[in-house]
Amino acid sequence: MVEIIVDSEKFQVDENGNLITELKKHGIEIPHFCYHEALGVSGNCRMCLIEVVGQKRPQIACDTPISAGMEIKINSELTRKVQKGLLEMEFINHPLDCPTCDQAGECSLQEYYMKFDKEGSRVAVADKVKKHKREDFGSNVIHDEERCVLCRRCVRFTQICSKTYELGIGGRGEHSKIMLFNDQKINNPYAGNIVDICPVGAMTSADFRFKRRVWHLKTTEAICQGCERGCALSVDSDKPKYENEQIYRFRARFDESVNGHFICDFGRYSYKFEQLIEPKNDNALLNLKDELKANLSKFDVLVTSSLSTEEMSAAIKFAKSFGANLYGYDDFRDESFCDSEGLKLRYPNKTANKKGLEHLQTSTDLTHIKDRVIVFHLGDKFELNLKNPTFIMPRKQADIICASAYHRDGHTINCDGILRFSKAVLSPVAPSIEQIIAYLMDEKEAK
Amino acid sequence: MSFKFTPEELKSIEELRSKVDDDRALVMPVLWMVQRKQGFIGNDDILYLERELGIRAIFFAEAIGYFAMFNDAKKGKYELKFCKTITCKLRGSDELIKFCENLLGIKMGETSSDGLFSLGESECLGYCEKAPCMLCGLEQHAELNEEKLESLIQKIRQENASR
Repeated sequence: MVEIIVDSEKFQVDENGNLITELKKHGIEIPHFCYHEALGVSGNCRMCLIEVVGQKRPQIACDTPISAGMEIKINSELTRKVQKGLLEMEFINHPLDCPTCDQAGECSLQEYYMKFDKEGSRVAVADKVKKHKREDFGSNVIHDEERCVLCRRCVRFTQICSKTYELGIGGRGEHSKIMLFNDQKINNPYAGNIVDICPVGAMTSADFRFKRRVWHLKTTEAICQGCERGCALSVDSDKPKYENEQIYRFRARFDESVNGHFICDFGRYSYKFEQLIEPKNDNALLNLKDELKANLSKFDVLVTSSLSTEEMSAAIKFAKSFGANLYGYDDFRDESFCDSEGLKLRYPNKTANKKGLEHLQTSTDLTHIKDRVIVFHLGDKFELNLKNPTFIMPRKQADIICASAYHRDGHTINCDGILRFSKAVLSPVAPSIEQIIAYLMDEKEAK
Repeated sequence: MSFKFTPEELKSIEELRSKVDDDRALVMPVLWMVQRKQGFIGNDDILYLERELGIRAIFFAEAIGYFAMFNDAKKGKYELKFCKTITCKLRGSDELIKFCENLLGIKMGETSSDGLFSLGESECLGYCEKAPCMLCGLEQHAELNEEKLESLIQKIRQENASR
């Protein structure tokens, strides 16, 4: 750690770090487009130019090595002048239609304009260079050439992270644009991240585009239930007028120990299956309760590795109190899902809590399981060679509908043995598995 | 007929490869090889280069998009590329281009029907003291005027007619 001076205030920063990242830790923001912690330094946007005392010219903060005692000025007149000039250049051909842009509310260009510029345009609207709009780049990525600031983040993502090399920059000067080779569309399981890392509205998601304004959305931190990796998610939800609350999108949330900055597309679009479902059959739960009371010894309980640790322990208690055998099921392996190239965030076991189930040490050998089984599962129905199972799941085909993994609090243990907490995104319409078990055990009513 | 390297060309590429620490340094020399031989580099050729050399197609495409001397489509046998920078413009290159367009019956960026000429622009040829100037193939022509241009085109036409 060394001491540097920022606007005559002293800060301790890591000598080997990057100025932008290091100062962010102290709550100081240096504006930037092309620099990204996961993609490294590119140095082409020049937005992070700052005044460094002792240097003749402004320097780019992303690629200026940190040395002990260096003094930088990020609010000086020179720095402001450079930032204004830069923003004016970016805005020459950029459409000034923020209210209709899908990225409004989370666009760096918009934020920096409000923060550092606020100048009027010296270019008449009619003189702007009009470029292509709504180009389908494949894999749910829609490109708007007009809004692009050519920061190359998307290009570098396909080269550094997914290693699929679909994107490049063609042309030069004001004719430069993001291009696909030979119109071959983006085809990689991480394409959604391109939308996330784009600092402006040039790359938008075909799935989320214009469905909701981002400032209406409520963001909750959660854990992806798509596979055993358990990537950190930001879940954006909202309640449209006269309708139930809905999840609108999943975004990657930074978690250094698990997924870094990115998530896979399977996890990203899995929100579609996790919407609220109202319970269709109130009698089913009552019937099950009556049946349980009448035939205590005829039941077995099966929990799957999709459940949270809390739900599993509730199931243990449940099985014990009825004298039933508890079985575990974690056979959700899909080898084709596993990645050998790129970010390697996809793990073959497609449930979130396999390690948690292993901790319970339940039997996964189902040869002696009884025919009357209560199955607790969060996710799609799976084939089980049983004559009379009762599926308790958050899906329409379930016998009893429960709240999904994103509608209840719970802990999961991922493939590396990391225990993490996932918070409920919305208050559920259907009761959670824990509530159902409590009801069946006569502790309290299921909501 | 698609492009293919001769064994000697492949050998020279391997020699080059041993001298550089990043394979992307081969992009430009390899593109020149293709362009010299067939006059342009199509997408099929890029895919061939990717297979043959293990360098990603997008790197070739980026270079072709950036450098004006690489063609991505078939051009005429003789490419006339006028310098488009300010010195040549001040010395009347715009009028010369119009004259040339009338003479050949084609517009900028087009190729004549006999496949002999195509018209294009070039970045600064570094010949400002002798502006206006242009490239014909890889040959520079300086201090151009209408007579010079006309006689050059006639000469080329005659040469090709007699063959």
